[in-house]
Amino acid sequence: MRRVLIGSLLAAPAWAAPPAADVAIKQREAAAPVVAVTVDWAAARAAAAPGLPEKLRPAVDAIALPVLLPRDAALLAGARVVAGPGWYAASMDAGGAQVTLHAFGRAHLRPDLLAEQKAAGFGTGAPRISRTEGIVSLAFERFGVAYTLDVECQAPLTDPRCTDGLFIMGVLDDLAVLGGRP
Amino acid sequence: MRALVLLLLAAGAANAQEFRYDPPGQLVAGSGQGRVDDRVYVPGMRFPIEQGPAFANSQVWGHGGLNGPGGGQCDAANYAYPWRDNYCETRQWDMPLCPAGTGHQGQDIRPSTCENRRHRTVAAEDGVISSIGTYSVSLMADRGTLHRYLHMDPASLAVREGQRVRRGDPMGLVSNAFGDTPTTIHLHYDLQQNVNGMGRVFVPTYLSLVRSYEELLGRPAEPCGVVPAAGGVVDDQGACFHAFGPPATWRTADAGNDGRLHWTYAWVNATPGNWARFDLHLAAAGRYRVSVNAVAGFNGSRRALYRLRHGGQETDVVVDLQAGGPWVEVATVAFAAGGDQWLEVYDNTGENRDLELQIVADAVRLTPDAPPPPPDAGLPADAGEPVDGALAPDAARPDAARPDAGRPDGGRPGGADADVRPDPARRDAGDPRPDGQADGGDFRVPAARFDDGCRAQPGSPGAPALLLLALAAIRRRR
Repeated sequence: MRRVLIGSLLAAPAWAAPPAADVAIKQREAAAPVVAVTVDWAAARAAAAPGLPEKLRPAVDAIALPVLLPRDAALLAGARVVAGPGWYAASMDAGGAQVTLHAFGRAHLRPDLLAEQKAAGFGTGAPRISRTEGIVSLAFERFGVAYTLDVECQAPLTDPRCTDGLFIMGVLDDLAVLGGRP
Repeated sequence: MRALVLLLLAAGAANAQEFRYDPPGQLVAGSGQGRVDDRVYVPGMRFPIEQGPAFANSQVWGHGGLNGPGGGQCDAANYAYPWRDNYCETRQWDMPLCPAGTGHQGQDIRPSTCENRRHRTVAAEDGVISSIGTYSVSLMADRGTLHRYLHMDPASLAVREGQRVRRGDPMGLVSNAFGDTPTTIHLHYDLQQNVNGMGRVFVPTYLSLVRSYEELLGRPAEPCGVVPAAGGVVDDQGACFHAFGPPATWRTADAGNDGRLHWTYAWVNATPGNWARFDLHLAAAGRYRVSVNAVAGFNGSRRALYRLRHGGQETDVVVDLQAGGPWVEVATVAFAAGGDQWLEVYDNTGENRDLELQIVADAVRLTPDAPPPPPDAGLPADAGEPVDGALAPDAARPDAARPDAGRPDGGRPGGADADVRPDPARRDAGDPRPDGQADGGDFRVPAARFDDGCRAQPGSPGAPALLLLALAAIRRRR
């Protein structure tokens, strides 16, 4: 616990909420254990599909996760794959937009957050779409792995791929397991 | 020119101010409902802008913003303390951790002055640049957090996709880049973690930034306690101990160091149910022998799982709590001076719950691997006294209490250096386990490992044995 004097010595801007005075602000370190997720490889194998470009094969074959990628040949053509232990990322050029997929094969253990979410009635398994600063993000889980898709546009305020969720949902529907290994 | 001078004067004035910040969750009035959360989700991270002062506040509801009170983005009010949280500020679409279920994913930060492409950003943690978009750069940290930087000047980027970066390495310059439509000069910064059972979420950023900014300003967080250079004991009754998981399955007993201990049962599960952490803040860098107090009657597990964070790396160890005692060695490793180091113990050992094998979390002892010089040679000033009441100096304890005194290392089924497992991520290497349980042969506190070149490797099992032999030779000479 540390005490921080709250309250501006300068004139507070009109838009600011009135600051409290001498409020104790608690900081609690919340490092969480990081664990490898349990991958449902049977389900992943069942969802496997052909279509991985040969130039991506060396990188993809080294990834110890089910590698989801779009089947769309145009997207795959310029795909770039970066990976590390327990994760990978694939970035793809969509002509004026970039589609990026991140896979998280590790998880932070935060049972308190999970309990909070369940108590609040939020579902924890359904895809979630958010959008900030023009980037549309979609989080979902498959085979026990957490994935995210991001669509980032050159014209973020006018390109419909970054102003609504239709495009990113289409990319989600097009994903297939194109590689990876246990 | 005059405007620039005013800006620099304003920045100088702010620099001289005492850093102040509003509480987490207190957003600009009318900008939505913030999340009141006292957690520092990424302790130890580096503040993502190279130099202070910096000003965390809203771009949209501040001067020059779409919903702001008017004026320009360079208004002095935008470049003054206190900081203000804008995680969960009104946005559309899903943000499960926000009270409204929607909101802003991270925090807007203005650099010290309202100058475009002047102020440098830096890597917040060690990791790899996972992607670079039109105006985004993502850094996947070794410890699993995805850090995202938005609006850096694309031409200024000092990193490329796939590049490994170290904490503090330059990334690029803060700018107004936003595709074909400029935004205000700021860094949007957010943190993503895959929270077990929830999937990937944007976790609150504000207090992690506050903490890292305080460290940037030379105000590091007060440690819960400091282990003196001569070694010491961190007890579960002190402020450096943290127990996690269901409180009902953490038991306590009047025994052990300081007369009180925590214990729980070992079980079979892919992830821990209960775990505990002892924070270790060291006065001096060096190699220390780390031992745990395996109190008789609470030391049933022969495969207790420990993870030790020391000097920027993590080491996993399986320990037989019945192997000698009461102090059982976990590992002898190099520590850095300072914090962000800890020992964690987990309950998912793979031992059947029906066996009622106990795991104790009572105390951790650190002993310098190279003992300090004798008193007549002059002790360091901090050698004899702990800084914090939770810690006790340990250098004077008899060596007879050492776990390896007189014990043949070759006979141990578990414990100490010989059991350092370099890559627990291999738990995924086998067949899927549809019952969600791990088999009994693997170390089951899995986390991905990174090639930092400092861990024991599977192909070099002789290194720990050589270390033990060397230690034995030293003891014989003494």
